[in-house]
Amino acid sequence: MSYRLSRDAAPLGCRGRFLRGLLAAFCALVSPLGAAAQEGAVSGRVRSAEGQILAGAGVRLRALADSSRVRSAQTDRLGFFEVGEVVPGVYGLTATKIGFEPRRVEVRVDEAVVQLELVLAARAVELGAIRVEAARSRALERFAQSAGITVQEIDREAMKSIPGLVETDPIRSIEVLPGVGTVSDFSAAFNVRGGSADQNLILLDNVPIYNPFHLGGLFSVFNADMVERAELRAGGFPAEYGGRVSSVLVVETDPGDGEPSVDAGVSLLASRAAVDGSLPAGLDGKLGLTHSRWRVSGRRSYFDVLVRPWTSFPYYLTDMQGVFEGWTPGGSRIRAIGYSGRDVLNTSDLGDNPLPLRWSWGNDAVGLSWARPMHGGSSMDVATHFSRYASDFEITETEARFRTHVREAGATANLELRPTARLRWKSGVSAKDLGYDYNIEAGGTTFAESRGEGLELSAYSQVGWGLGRSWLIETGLRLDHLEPDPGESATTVAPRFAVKRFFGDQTAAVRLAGGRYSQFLHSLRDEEFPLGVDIWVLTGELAPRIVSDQVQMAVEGFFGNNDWFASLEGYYRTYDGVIASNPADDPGDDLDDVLSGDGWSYGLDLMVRRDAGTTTGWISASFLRTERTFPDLLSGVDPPPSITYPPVFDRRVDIDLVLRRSLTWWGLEAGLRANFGTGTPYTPVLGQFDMYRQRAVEGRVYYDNATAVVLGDRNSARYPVRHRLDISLRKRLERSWGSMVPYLSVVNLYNRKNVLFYFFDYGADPPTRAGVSMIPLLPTIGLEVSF
Amino acid sequence: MNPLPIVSALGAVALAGCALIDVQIADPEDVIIAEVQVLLTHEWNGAGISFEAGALLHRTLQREETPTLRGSTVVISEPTKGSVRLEERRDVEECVIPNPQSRDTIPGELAPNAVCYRANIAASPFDPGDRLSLEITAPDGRVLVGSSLVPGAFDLVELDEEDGRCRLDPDTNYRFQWRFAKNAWSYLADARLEGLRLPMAQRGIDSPDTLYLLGFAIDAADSTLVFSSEFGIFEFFAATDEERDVIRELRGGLPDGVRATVAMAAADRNWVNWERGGNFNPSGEVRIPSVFGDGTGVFSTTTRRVVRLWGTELRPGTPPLCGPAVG
Repeated sequence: MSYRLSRDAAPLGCRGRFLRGLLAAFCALVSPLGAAAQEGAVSGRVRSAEGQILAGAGVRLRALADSSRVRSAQTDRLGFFEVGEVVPGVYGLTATKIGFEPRRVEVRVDEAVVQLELVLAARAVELGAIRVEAARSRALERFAQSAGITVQEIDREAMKSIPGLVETDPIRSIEVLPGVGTVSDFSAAFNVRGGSADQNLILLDNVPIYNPFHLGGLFSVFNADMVERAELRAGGFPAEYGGRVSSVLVVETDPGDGEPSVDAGVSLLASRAAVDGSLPAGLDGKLGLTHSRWRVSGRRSYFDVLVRPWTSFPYYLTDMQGVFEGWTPGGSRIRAIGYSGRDVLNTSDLGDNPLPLRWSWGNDAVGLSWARPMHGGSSMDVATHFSRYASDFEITETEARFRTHVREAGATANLELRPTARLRWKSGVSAKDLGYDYNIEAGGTTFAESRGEGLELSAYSQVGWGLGRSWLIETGLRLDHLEPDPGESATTVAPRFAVKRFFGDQTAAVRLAGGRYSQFLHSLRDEEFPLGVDIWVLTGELAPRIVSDQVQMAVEGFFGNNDWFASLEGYYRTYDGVIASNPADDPGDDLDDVLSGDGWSYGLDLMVRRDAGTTTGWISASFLRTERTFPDLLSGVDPPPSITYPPVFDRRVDIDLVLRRSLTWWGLEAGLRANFGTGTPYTPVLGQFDMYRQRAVEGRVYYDNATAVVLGDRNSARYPVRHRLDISLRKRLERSWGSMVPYLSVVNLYNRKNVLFYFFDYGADPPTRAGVSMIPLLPTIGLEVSF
Repeated sequence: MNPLPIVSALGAVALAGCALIDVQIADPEDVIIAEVQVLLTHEWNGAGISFEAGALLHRTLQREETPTLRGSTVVISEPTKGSVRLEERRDVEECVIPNPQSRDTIPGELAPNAVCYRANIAASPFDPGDRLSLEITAPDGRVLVGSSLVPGAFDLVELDEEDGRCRLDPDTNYRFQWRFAKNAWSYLADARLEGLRLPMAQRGIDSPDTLYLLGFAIDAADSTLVFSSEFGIFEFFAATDEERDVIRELRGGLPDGVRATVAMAAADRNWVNWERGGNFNPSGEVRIPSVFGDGTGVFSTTTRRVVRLWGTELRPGTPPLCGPAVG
């Protein structure tokens, strides 16, 4: 093992030939800050002995003269780290990474930037403590480096410890984070801070995935074995983020460590396997790479196969996912990901079936990116992606068909420069080709149909700088422009700002962030239908764009030797241009299928988290109020009046407790999730009446053997409070060939009957209200194997 | 071992596990429901337009016996053309026909509080394109009102008929075509088929003798409908196995000897909103009303042509062929 220590005599800022031209405008701004600086910085890169870039390595700087002076950072995706605003002196610097021996070097810091290149030796055994430390370092680093964004992450280990339905689900796991709410146990769709489900951008690495759900929304499409962590960005987005107004959920793929290994598992839902490794060195060389790693997985439900000898089972799901990462001699990273998944419900093989139907839905996505590190921690990257979702339903007998498709192809380029330790500048451009179509038809008649496409062009520029050690300021501007066909072009100018005031040793802060956000894609999902299907619509002739103005303020900090973290955050958001399906559209008017409305939300999110110790976990509490205003087409009045109501996801209070503890008993690892939430709104039924239908050939009506309802004010009643306790037990068994983990998960331990929906029967004597509950007591088991 | 019973049992347990206990609730609100239908029929041979209106007044389901709505007044009017007061009929069956699924009878407890009002006028006082108003006054003084814009004149094209009658060669289909009717929100084709039992029995199908089938064309750009292959889409889902067999058989056309009365109609906004329904609700269908005030309901208007078709070879006394057969 070796390390190289080098020093630059002057700040890197505007000296580099390449940077000089690009940064001329910024030099004037930076110079006063640089001149005022009396502190130094340490930056560098961390590699393995084989030359592999180590992203996510923790770097801790501790003053030898005063051990309480500790600064930490984490390497980015290119292996770079930077610790700024370091008081001159001698420090011990320790770099850690799971699977590697920690590396410690002594560093003398003056008023300049110290450049390091650290090489870590591989270690056979991973230690849980290091994993915890890595996560904590990442949180500390993010806390120190970002001014406004609200980010919560859950890594794979934490995901697996959260009790869940059948098997670990990355999207389900974020339900327990503050500000995140769900309406139904039967749908993994989620709402963030009063936004609707289609306002969440779900990314597999950098590739958007539409409707990422299997089994009608019960499970997400993401295989937890392929996921390194899920990161929810819930608000305060800097200018680099666009496309959705409510949240960004990034599911990061784990490319493995390059060593051949297999992770497999079986649950009551599906069996799965993930294999990883690296290309032979010779092939790496031929491809111009120093090294590479890859990981692929496959998953399939097996119930249809299991019962095939006796009967046909009409449903199965399947998905495949892969990632490849290669590094060039210059340190550039090339990364490719791919995903393909399908659900198929086909009853045509069932005997004696009067209405054979076939329903197939799923996603396909690919992404390719290239990231190049530059001097001083600067970087540039370009990426391209393609993603599509298709749902095709057909009852062949009646020629009844329902189709909804959405696709996106895009390219992005970003440049990030760090002229000084205190200044970051990032700009980028992107272009996306978007398209959608949907169609509902039966018997030769088309009941609903729309299609459209558009070119979305975006550009942003943002700058973040520190004023001393107490302030961090970010400003930026984003332009989003859509050229839809059909429809008129739309442009959103979206300013962003964030200010953060640190206290103590940068372990506590108050931050304020705000900005304008816009969105060009909507879903016409009927949110009141428990198993909703997204029907995507692009801004244009049919639908407006969503514009959301948001402001948020937070108090947050680490305490207890940084083992604990707490935050309290308040927010206010407006939503202009939200849409809903028009239940009273004129069939002859293709442009009135969609209603346009507006809304607002405000709330408070509290989180207290413990990252170290025998018991870890968090408690999150969210208070939310949100309303929507739409034309009331259900009233039948022409022209329709406006109606304002709380949407179905307006859960005023939502509290989650998540705990994880290693038990001394049998070496079990236990997980617990407790949830309490106030009731969500529904529209009360005030009465029922017999359904008659008109018969034009007779000029009379006939009784249709059904009832219709007289409704009260929209969403003016609420279901009872929801509460639930889930537990999980996992036992790791080490074997000579690897390890296996049998697990037991129990959802709704005390069988609470949380209400999914009511149905009223006023024809009964006496009238009654019955209903359907959400998931009852449900134990499930599974097995994971690694070798 | 066949796992299906075990799986079924587990499924049943799971469903039972999701059922909530019934809870007694308060009686519903007493709401008057008015279902008012106006038909302006273009008669054949230049006989003008006839007027037909039916109003079924009933209430939300009640546990207690509720006062009858007999004695109500139902008036349809147009400011410049006067008004028509619908007459109260003794039998509710004058407004309600048997459920097609019930085949022959109206359910015994049908509309216990319902009252039927009707008017039939050979020369309609109103015309296509008029805006009609509805006012209903219940015996207890409650008032319901509505308004409807009658669809414009409705004309079938490329139809050879004799006094509204034509024939189809057995087991062939015919494409109805019509001209756009102003203000129409959709076009419906409602067919009553009679004399099915015998020809279907000859094909091994146990069929009711009479069957109602509906066809839809819902926008201005869609102005054709093939009889009988495009009829019965909605009935198919609720049909018995035998009825499904009949509907399948009818896709090939009318069997020899079967007669059909087809009302081709242009329907207004109110008809579409009421029939189509609104958002999902597990307690029943959400209907979008066009009657307001002290109650709810529908006030729909349609303009229609009624064609009588006969599946038969050319014989003496048979009407002309409706038009060319379609594949």
